Amino acid sequence: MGSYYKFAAVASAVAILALVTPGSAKAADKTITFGMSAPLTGGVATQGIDALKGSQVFIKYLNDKGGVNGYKWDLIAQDDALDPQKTLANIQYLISQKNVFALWGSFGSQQVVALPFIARSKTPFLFVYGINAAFHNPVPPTTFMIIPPAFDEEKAMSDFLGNHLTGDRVFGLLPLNNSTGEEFTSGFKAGAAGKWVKSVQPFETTTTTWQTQLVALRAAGVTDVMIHGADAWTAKIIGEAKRLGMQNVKFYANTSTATPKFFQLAGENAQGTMAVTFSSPPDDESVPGVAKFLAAFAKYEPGYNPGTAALHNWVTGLIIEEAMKNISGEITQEKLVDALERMKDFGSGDILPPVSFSKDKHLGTAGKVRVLEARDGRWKAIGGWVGGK
Amino acid sequence: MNSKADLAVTDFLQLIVSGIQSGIGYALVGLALVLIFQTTRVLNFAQGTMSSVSGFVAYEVIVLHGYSWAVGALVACIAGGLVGAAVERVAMRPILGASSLSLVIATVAVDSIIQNAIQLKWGADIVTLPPPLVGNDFNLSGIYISRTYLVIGVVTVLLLVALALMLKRTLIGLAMQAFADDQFAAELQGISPRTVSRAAWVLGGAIGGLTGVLFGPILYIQLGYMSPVFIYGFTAAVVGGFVSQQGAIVGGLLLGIVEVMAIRYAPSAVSSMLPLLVISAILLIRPSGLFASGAARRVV
Repeated sequence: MGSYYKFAAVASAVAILALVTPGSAKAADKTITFGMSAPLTGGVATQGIDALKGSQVFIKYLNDKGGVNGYKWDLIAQDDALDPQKTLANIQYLISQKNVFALWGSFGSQQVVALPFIARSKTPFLFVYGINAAFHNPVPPTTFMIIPPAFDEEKAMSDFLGNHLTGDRVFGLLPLNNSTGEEFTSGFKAGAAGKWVKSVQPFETTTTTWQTQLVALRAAGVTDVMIHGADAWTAKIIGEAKRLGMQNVKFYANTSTATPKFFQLAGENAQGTMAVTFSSPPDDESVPGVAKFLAAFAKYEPGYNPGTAALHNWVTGLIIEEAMKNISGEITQEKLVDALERMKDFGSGDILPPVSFSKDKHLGTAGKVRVLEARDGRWKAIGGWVGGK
Repeated sequence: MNSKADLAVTDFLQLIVSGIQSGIGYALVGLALVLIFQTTRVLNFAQGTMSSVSGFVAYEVIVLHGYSWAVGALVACIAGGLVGAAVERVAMRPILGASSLSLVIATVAVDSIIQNAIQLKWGADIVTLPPPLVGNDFNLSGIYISRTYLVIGVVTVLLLVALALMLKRTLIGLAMQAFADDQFAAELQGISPRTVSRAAWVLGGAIGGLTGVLFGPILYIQLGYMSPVFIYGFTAAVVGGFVSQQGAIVGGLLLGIVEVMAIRYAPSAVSSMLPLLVISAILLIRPSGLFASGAARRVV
């Protein structure tokens, strides 16, 4: 009897250990469950929800055609309100308690706070919508990205502007007052238009007005302003600038501004604004991949106008699907990472440039970006893919 | 052609104007907080979220139903007052007499509940509210004054005058003052704590509602849009000592000016915390705030 109880105790301990230890999660019961942490409330909730909808629509689209390799997908999304503490708690919850197969499509550069925990758990951390350098350097073993770091994105924009703009230009930069803002500034200064930068005016995420920064830029005599921020911030900044008499200043922005929402918020001030982004415009039906994306939304989320974050999660869903197609037998985390690293020149219908990964290159687009211009209520691509390594 | 010195003076004056503009907004939030605290001794951490309800109401009235800005603002104020009354009746009155900490925690819970209610009704989308006065900022020799902030300034002054008259000339105002001075004595005089509490919350809610509407065109209306303003408004009220409306106004203006000066002249590594450091320094010298007399009393 004594030995029976000892055996039962040991068996229970092993069972408990197996349940709580995040390890090589296998896709059980032919359903692969992904986890996602995104700001579903707060100042950038529109983009977090946009990202979530992109994932949800892709999953419906995929499951309706039978899944991939016999597996259907599921998603558990947690709200972090862009708060790093909540992000870490969410990631820990998703991995340790929900035992998700992988994290996919989480939103925001604050996700970097979870990188050490994710590395220890060996959970695939797929395609964060973020621009922090820590997602790339050094290459985290299970992290894959399509969005380049802020430095590369801004350098590409700076090179484009430096090679296309003429005349005497005076540039002002409006970066966020954080590490990503510093990368934004360094990247732009490292590019061809960097020689024109005369004034850098950082701002906080909690700021309610940019008058002080704009007054300083006006005093510097800027002709062009590059903004680091979401669509709502850019719309407000341009509005304030115009009301401060900066009528002839040209404005440029980064990825988070290139959304359909920007036009609603900025109104007529949107016209002529340029933005650098990692993908084709999310509303450009002339791009084959985008047309397919919009058709899926029309079917599964009628009435919803998807933006860049939704497009990001849609196209990365396609990438993951493609990788899984090339896995034989049971799909495991290790096999997925391996399949992604073997991916070469995956075509997404020109949503992205051809996507390739390798063992030491987990940025699938090689940092290539597109420059868009706001024209008559739509984002239009100017030329092809630029930048990259 | 302006000399460099002229331009420097113009820019400095523009900064002062910008600081005053922001500060007036913070002052308005602080005013509502002080009003509620003076009478009920409750630090209302739900004030920002309560204000944002009015912003959404104004959006519905002005943008979706096409009414004028003035009508939208009036309806939004009434909505703010009703929210204040509801919060007082449902969350505060049942625990009247509880410890200060319990009351503060109750307001934190109210904040969370209202945030969820807003998200259920209006979602997480961003919507825009037209400004009360359409057009470019006023340009006075190169110094730009925002039309919206000018309206906020005028409203604040009118509000202060109206409040002063109400507190001195009406029965309910006198009752609120009596409660603020000495609650025990006021009760002995037959003044009902429930009536006074309700009046304070309704008034605080209405002022908060007005603030939410006035800031709508500046901040865009979305869930949590009043949170940054609430933090600064709270700080303004602290600087004022939480005992006088005038103190909240001065505190707000001071905070606004210090903020813009910090952004403009301090290194970016410290500019975000400099205003709060300055305020902390003020409180170290005068812990009860600039306008309170006597020693500070710990309330939480």
